[in-house]
Amino acid sequence: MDRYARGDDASFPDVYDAVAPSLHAYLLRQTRDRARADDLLQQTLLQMHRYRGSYVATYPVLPWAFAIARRLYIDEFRRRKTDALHSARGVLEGDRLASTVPEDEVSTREVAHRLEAELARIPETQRAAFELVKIGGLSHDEAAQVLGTTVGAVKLRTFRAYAAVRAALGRPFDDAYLEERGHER
Amino acid sequence: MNAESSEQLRARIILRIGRERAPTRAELAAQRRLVVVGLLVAPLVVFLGAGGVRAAPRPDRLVLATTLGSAVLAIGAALLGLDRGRSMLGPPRLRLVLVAVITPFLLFAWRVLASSRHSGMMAASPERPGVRCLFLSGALVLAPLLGLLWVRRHSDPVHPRASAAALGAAAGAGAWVFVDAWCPVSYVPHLLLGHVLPLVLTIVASACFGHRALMLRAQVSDARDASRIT
Repeated sequence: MDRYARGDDASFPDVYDAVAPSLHAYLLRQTRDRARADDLLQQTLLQMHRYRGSYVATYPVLPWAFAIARRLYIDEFRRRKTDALHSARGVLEGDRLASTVPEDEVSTREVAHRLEAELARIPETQRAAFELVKIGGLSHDEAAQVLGTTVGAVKLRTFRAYAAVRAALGRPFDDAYLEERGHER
Repeated sequence: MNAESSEQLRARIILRIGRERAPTRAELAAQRRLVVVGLLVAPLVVFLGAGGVRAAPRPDRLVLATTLGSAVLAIGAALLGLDRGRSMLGPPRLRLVLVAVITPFLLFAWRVLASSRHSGMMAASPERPGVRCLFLSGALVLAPLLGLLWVRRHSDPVHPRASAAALGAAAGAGAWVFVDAWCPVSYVPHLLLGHVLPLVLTIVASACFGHRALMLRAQVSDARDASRIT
């Protein structure tokens, strides 16, 4: 990144290889939509490109990249939130995909579904910290920078989210639970 | 629509980035140097235009103490509010908010403390409510605040409002130093209206409106461009 900030355009592919895989995985997880994740990745890297001159040598790049990606995702999500047509289409596509899943993948998919449901249930601050640390692979310090808070707050939020997820995944697949979550078997 | 492979995505993004010229570190530093010179010169011109230092009836020691003390506090506010520390994302929100909240208190307290040590310097001056200081503060702070917001434009993806408030505090504290040197009145109601109020207004206005300049936002053309290519 340092070479790139100094004007060495040929080093951009190195920057891409260093940050894009984890960024893309994060965005894919947030959007659950490959095309949207691709678009957000491009926009994130475009922002980094535009402000490459402000990069200070030796400063960690990944928290910066994650913070930009997160902000762009939140903005994009807010724009899309008003698009009811998009949401309806997403549900229909999700149902169609679910109906074509082989039987042996159902259990895994249900666990994933429950994880998603629990993550959606916990407060946004805890979810964001959990996703950056446990899924994005950032350190507590880096996640604190991305979220604009203290390391202690990130540790606490991650712990609470982790405890909630662990408690939820420890529960049996009973009908009452599924009914509570609004799923049909 | 066929999903784009990782290699295709990589090639597409590298191509897209290559099409756009972005300033390098050296180019950006040169731009910022110009802005910083402007930040120093513009308030100086306003200050000298308003008459420069007006000591009487203050003793020189008091002028020196209040001005140097407030200058130290302003530099501290600027360092704490503008310095990014060891991260591209700047200091935590709490530090920025503290800078914005505490700076007016400290500057006010210093002026009162320094003036109260000299007899007659806190005397009532109801004929000078502080309106001229209020307008002078506004004139002094405008260019530095706009300059700082321009330098930091679209660069804060985490807490633009807190950053804007801290920038306002830094710019306002800089203006306070000039007003300190210019205004001999230390009557508390005068200080509150003519010195503290403009600083607080600067911080609030910067937080309310300046954050739009600092916040990172995808340009509509970027999203359209990305969607069209996919």
